[in-house]
Amino acid sequence: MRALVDDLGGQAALRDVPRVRLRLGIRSKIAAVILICMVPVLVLAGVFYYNRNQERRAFVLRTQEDAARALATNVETFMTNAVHAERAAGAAVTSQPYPVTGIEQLFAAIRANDPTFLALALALPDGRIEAADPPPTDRRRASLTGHRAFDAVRRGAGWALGPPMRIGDRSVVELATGIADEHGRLVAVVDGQVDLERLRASLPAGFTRQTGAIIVDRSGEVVLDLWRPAQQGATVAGLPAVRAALAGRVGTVEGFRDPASGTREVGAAVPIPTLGWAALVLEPEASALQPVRAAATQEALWVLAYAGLGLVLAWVLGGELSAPIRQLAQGARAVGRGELGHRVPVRRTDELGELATAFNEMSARLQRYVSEMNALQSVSDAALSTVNMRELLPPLVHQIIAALRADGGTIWFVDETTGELAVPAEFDGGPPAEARRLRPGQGLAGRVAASGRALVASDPRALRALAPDLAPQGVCAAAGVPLRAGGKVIGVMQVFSRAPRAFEPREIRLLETFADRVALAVDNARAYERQQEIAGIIQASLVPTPTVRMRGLAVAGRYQPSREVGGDFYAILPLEGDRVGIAIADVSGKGIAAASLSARCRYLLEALAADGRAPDAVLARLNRTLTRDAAGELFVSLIYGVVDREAGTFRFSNAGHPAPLLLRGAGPAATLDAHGLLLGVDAGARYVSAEARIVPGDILVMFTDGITEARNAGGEQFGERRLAEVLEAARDAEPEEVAGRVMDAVAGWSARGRAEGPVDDQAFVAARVLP
Amino acid sequence: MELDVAVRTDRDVSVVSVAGEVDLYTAPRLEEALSRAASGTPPLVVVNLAQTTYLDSTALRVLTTALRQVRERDGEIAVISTQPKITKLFSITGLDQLFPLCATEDEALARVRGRAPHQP
Repeated sequence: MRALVDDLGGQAALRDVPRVRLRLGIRSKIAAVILICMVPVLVLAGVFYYNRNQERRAFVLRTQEDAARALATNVETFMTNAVHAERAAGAAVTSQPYPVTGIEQLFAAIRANDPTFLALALALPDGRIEAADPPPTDRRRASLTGHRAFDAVRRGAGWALGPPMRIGDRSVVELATGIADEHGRLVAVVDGQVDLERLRASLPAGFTRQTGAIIVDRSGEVVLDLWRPAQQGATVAGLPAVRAALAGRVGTVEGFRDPASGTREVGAAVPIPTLGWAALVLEPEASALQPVRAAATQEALWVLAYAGLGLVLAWVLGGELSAPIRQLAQGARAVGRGELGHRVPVRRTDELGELATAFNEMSARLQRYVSEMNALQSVSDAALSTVNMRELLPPLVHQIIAALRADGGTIWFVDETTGELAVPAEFDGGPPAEARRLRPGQGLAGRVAASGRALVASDPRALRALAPDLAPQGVCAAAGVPLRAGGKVIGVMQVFSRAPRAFEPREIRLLETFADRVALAVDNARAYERQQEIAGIIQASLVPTPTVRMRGLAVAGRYQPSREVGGDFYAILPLEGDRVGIAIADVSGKGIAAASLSARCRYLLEALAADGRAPDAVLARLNRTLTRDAAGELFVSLIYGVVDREAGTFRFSNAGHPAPLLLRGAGPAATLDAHGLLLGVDAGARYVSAEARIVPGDILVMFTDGITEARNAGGEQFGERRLAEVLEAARDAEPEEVAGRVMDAVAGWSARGRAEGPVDDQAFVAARVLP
Repeated sequence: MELDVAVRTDRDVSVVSVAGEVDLYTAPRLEEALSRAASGTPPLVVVNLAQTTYLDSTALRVLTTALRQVRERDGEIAVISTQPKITKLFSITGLDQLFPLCATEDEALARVRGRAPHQP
């Protein structure tokens, strides 16, 4: 459990970590790809560069080595020359008896001739110095025994060198050369102090002053540092190159830091075999490798310049690619927001330009489809609505014209009896008056109506052949499709263009779709109109003349049908004697069903009342019949009353209807109550008759709820209180005027906002009892 | 013009609360609610019109149809009417003779459970 909790906690923590997503644009990606592609090239360039550098360094080191060899050769030659000179001198003085002073004079002469020798001495094999120039200070004690060079020669070496010494500021080495007689016995030793500084003069010109030329003896001691006196005596014995050279091999020096100057140096050391010494050439790295470095730097700069150029090109190319793509993305978003008119600029001829063109075409097509869809939708909406089609058709046709991008259009309707085609008068934008009628088969529309098939004329010649009626109107191309309803062609939908135009099959199909909707709408509207017409005819037959005047009674009635015919009616029935039956009724529901029930009810009532039956009995009988017929689907509220002038009574029954009102004298309008159930609900319902006394001057009022429930713009009902006020104000008027004032008041009330007539039927009856 | 019809059950009785206006356009919803409410055996229905602002003749037809169907199946409908306007409508149309009109829900529930035959 614990682990699970931890695990969940861990997952939550993971979710909490903000996701770092590298968002790279096309530009950056292209740059990155090019950079990645450049990596091996750069690596190769680096390897190449490194190798070249190494070669150059090797070359520099070989140069150093050559210099060291030259130095070594020079030192060897210098020493060999010195040996020869000593041997010659020694041979000269030992080949024949020579006085000491003569020897010393000879030596002086040699020294004067060759400044290499700072001193020359002739020693006997026992070490005693026989003669010397310059002469020794103490002749008796002068001996060479113990001198390393002399001892080596006495042991058998032809010649030998002593340890390097410093005399004053000069490097000096003792050179002992053995002189032998013809038997090879050592007879004397010539010992000279050789001035190594003289080596300088013998060096070839190739040695620059920067070149360190160091001679090292077998113990690693610096014998001579040719150019850097200050360094003399410094040991370079530790250098592996020097050790190698003393061991007889060539060695190179790299990265050696001169302890005195602190500069890094390169060089080479070679052995001087005859002397057992080593010749070392050193040069500051800075000067030795300067050409190498300059070349390397130049190469590196070229490589970097190429890489930089590559990146710049990548960036520019990326920009070239990404800018139009961004525009396309913005375009797609704009279209997504519904800005179908959005277009992206097309400035290129490549694939991106093609894409932009395709995008623009797509959004243009989308725009067209959407406008077509919208037009289709509004045509469909109109087809489903029951409003007056003749008012709605012209705007619909305009929408269809716009959707098809045509220049104009017309709807033709087929006259059912003659088969002629006509444009409804409402189309003020349609063809001229003389071209608004076509015989069957005449013109494009006539042919479409006759054949029941779509027809297209794409150019003026085809149009003249098909539709001679359109050509004079400046039309160049036209298309017509039939409007079908109930399997019959009821009309033709026709669009035209003032320029030649091939209506595509897709556009014809669209036009046909429109036509189907329009036809449905027209058919619906016609059916509705027909129904209204029938209901109106039935209703009209029920409404009596507005004013009836008979002995002792003046009656006025008004009936205001609603938009849809309903079932209100009133009736004034003269009965036997001086009695008059008055009825008012409201049949629930609307249309033909209500109108026909209302007619049935009206005539049943008349028949039942004719016998002079009491109102409650009339209602009971009427209710039984209606309940049986209507089966509870419709019901009727009704008041039936009898005015008996002789008896001075108004005897009435009420089946669920708003109570009648009685106005007498200056008193308020009084309601006459007698409750009973609506007719058509319960076959067994019983009704009561109530009786009101009436006197001359009284006004009896009956109305339907269309009067009291008429609403104003705010939804407020006219109400019984307002009705009573209007009645009380009109109490002295004739019944006709009373009815007129009430109807005007109600119309004025509901006109504040409703322009289409009352929602419900309104019926009103006023009867004045005359003296 | 808005209508809210809610049906809930109080044990064996379905209570249909009708808030708003019932007219030609909204009556089908009341009809549907009533037929749902009248599914019990026997169907016991209370129609609460305390929040009803308007009833037209279509609404009355829906109510009378429901009443007939419920009575045919030995059930009962009671109507709660606290508004004078609604009560008056029932009185004018005589429908108060058919529907027991009650002031409270408790009264209406007792009425349909007792199934006392309504005396006009």
